[in-house]
Amino acid sequence: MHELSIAQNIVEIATQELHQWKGAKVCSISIELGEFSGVVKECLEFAFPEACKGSVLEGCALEVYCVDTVLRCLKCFNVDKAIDSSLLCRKCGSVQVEMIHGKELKITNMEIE
Amino acid sequence: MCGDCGCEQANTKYFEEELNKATKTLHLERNILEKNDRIAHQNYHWFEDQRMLALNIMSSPGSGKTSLLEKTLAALNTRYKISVLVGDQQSENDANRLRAFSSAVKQIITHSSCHLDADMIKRELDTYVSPNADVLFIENVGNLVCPAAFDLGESAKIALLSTTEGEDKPIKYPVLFNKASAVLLTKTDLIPYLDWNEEICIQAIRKVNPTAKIIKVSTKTGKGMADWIDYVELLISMKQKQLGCVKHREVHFE
Repeated sequence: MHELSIAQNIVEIATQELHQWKGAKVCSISIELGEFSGVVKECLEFAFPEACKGSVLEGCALEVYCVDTVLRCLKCFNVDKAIDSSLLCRKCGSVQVEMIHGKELKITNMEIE
Repeated sequence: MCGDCGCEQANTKYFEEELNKATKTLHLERNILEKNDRIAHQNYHWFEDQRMLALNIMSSPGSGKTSLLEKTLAALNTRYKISVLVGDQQSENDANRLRAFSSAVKQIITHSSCHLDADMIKRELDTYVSPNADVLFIENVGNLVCPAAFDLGESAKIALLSTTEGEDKPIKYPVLFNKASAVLLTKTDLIPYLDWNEEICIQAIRKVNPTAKIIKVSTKTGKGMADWIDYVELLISMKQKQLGCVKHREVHFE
């Protein structure tokens, strides 16, 4: 599964950030995961401890915040959550929608001590 | 002792323990795929500079990507310069099949990886993929999940959905089908033998991707292949006309 690659990327970014904080230890990492990011929370949580082994992140906690898909209709400007991954405007049925949330795949915070 | 109330708490370092344990929160806001996306961006500009159309072809294993490419190469290789990169975990089988139609085919063996990433493509640009090519077809690893998360810098993503997979795969794997510019319904010659409903299938695609072009093809009978070839040729001509009629590379060579 590609969640292992994703977990390895998280470790790489956290290791870079930690360079400025000599001697610090990472307690937890928080990430945002959009419904349309293509990454599964449970798989990432499973892969993460493996990716951390032997790195500065070994033993740190991973907090995953799932982000629902939110669409803005470009016709009627309605902003609403997408239900069942359906990407049509729930108000007017238009196909011209912009996904304003749901593609998130980012590290938001890192707690160090 | 406290001078006010006489208790024993005075001068105690109340917060010492907390201070030693103090944690600090770093606000990072960093894209987890930033490394891949940065390389994909470089690839994208390389393709743009060469006026090269790069198509990332994705589907589940066995839905007909290689068969489609065989027929596509046969139809286009006399008129265009074509390069092909084929991703699989193991074996040169697909590349060997495609070499019958084009000499510029390279197999990328991904080993344990379930997808192609931007760096695997970058390594082939300017080395294996000639800057003179008009089109690069990238046959991704057969998988409806992982390839969708990794941009390669391609001009467009093409998804294949064979009739034997049933109608509702787009709903089960929305990310991949959502990102596709075109969805090809393959193995349409098998429709008479299957309980497959075209209307339900198209509804499933439209639900996650309301604007994708949908093309029905059978590589076995050739039905619908002209629509696909027309679509590819349209994309090639759009790419070549993007910054005037003269190709960038021709300017360089003069």
